[in-house]
Amino acid sequence: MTIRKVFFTLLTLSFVLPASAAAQRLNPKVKKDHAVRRLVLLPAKVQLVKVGIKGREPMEKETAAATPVIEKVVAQVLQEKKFIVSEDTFRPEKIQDDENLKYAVADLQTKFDQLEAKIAKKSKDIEQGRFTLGDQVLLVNQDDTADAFVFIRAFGQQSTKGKKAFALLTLNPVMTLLSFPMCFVTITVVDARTGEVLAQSQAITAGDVIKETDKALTKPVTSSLKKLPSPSEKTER
Amino acid sequence: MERQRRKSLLLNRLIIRPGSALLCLLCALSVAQAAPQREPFSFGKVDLELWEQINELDKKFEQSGLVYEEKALAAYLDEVGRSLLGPADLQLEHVRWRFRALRSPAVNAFAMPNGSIYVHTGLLARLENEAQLAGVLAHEIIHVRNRHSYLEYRSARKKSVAIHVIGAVEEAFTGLGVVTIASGVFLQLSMFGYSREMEKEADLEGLKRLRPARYDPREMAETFRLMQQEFEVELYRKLPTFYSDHPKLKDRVDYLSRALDQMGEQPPLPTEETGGQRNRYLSRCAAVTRHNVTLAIEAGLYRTALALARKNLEVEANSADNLVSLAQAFAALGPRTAVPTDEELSGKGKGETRKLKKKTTLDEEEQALAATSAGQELRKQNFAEAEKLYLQAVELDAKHADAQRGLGFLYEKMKRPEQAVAAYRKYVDIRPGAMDRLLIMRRIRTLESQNGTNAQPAPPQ
Repeated sequence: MTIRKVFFTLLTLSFVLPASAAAQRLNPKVKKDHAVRRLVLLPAKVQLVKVGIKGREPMEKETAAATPVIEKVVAQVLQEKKFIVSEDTFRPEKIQDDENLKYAVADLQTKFDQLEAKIAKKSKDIEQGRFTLGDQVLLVNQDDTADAFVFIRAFGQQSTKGKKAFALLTLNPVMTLLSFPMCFVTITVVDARTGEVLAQSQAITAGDVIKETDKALTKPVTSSLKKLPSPSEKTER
Repeated sequence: MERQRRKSLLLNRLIIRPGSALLCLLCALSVAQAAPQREPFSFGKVDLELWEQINELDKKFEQSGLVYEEKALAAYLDEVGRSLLGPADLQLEHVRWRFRALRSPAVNAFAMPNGSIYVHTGLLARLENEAQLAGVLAHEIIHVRNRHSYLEYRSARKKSVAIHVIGAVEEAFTGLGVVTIASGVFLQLSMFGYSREMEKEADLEGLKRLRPARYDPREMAETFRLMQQEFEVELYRKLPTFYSDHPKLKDRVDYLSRALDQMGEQPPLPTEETGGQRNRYLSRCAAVTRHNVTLAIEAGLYRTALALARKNLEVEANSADNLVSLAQAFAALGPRTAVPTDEELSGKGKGETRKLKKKTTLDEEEQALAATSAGQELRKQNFAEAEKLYLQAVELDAKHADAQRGLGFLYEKMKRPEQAVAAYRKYVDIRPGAMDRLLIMRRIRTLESQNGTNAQPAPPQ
């Protein structure tokens, strides 16, 4: 019984832990002296859930509160890497009155989610420049002020005390491991003119992303974007 | 002796232990699923929490561009929806009735417990008259009226507790925790729709609301027939959705027919009235149907897009907008047939398509299909059809910007760069402030720089 438990714990860890190290993918176009300088963040899609003994429940209020903080963390980390980041261009309240722009942003997000499903299967192909959203991205880059768009997806969970106690009580390693708070953030940089996927990274945190979003995410997001080189100061796009 | 002991151990491990775990699970589920005893509904803490979460979700739909905001359609949905409400419905605690269209090509509709009822554009595009729309809305109104979401949520929470307990029992037996993992999937599926009884209740009570609002109740059963139409190759077993599969559509048609018989012979509504309802529906939903054609194309549902665009054109053949919409569908269809071939519908064909879809992006899939000689031939035919329709639209309205834009994209795909540039230029002349002006100008520049004859198409849109 013990050997089996150890095996399953290792199996779970093998799925969870290497993700942050293995998931930094760069398109050759951004590998060195690139001119991708001006980044625009698209509204992050975040899902936080509470896992309790009575099942998984959405945390829409907490999600709404955490979303701008997650965006802020990503923006700050990118700014520290000398990118010029605009984080509120497509905030819902800003594009509220422009129906067409609102649809265009929504459609682009949907298209990205469709593509993301393919990227997840073979993220290594980002390095071959295989993935693109097409020049449809120009619909939301009307004044050509962005070099790239940043898509953020985050999933976080927090267990209730009852669930944690139950997991410990059953001595189930998988259940115990999964009862800790955790959050996965995927950051994808897409060329704002051609739609090509330029970079993708994944950050994982075991911190309490609901109560201390900022604190829990800054470090993992910083290390997840470690490989992304800063833009060249000489070249203009 | 040793051999017999091993055999007995193996039997115990492989059959008895998992068997007892499964039995326990089934017992617990049957307890959890036992028909709920309906008492007058009163809000508990959990219900209020759910209500708050739902309000947030509602806001999210609105803010993220998922709600279709055409004012005329919004007013129309509201008018039809409100005609089905009784005075008691307007007094419901924590309910604010809103009837809206959701930008999604899926054939579905759903109700939130706070009174927001969403009909997907994919369903609006399929329906044929106002009575059918009223049937869908009446069904969803009953879900809200009878507090089905809250009751289902309470039941799901009970199920979850049962599953956790069983998971622990099973863990003690086998040490694998398989039930806990599988139960997550089970729970998700069961939460995806209401229980069979609730769906039936919504159908039957909804049906009763149609005639007093002067709608033909028989149209409710007709809606299910329309929903069963499948234009694409069904590669995977469909998940049950709020409106489509819970209970099975055929059962729904059967019990609705029985209920109609029990309602007795009713004087038919005057033909002018039903005809008026049909015409009103089709004219109000023409724009949303075209919008849905675009959404279906984006989602890779090319055959669905074609069928819906054709339907729209049948309603109004002399509409340049409808011609352009059908042309877009033909252009997107590219190397495919308009309806699935027998080969595609066979087990082998489905397997191959699944494999292709799993590995490739939509653009790569298109390229792979177009690489075959059959694909090339189909592409040629579909592009020719698209061109014909675009030109017809231009003939009807020389200043139709979308027709010129569509022609530009089409000629680019057909490797006719000069014609593509000419069409793009006309488009930006007609609509100088177009949202995609930059996109079009870049395409013009790319095509012109490629010096006409050896022009390569720009990246796909």
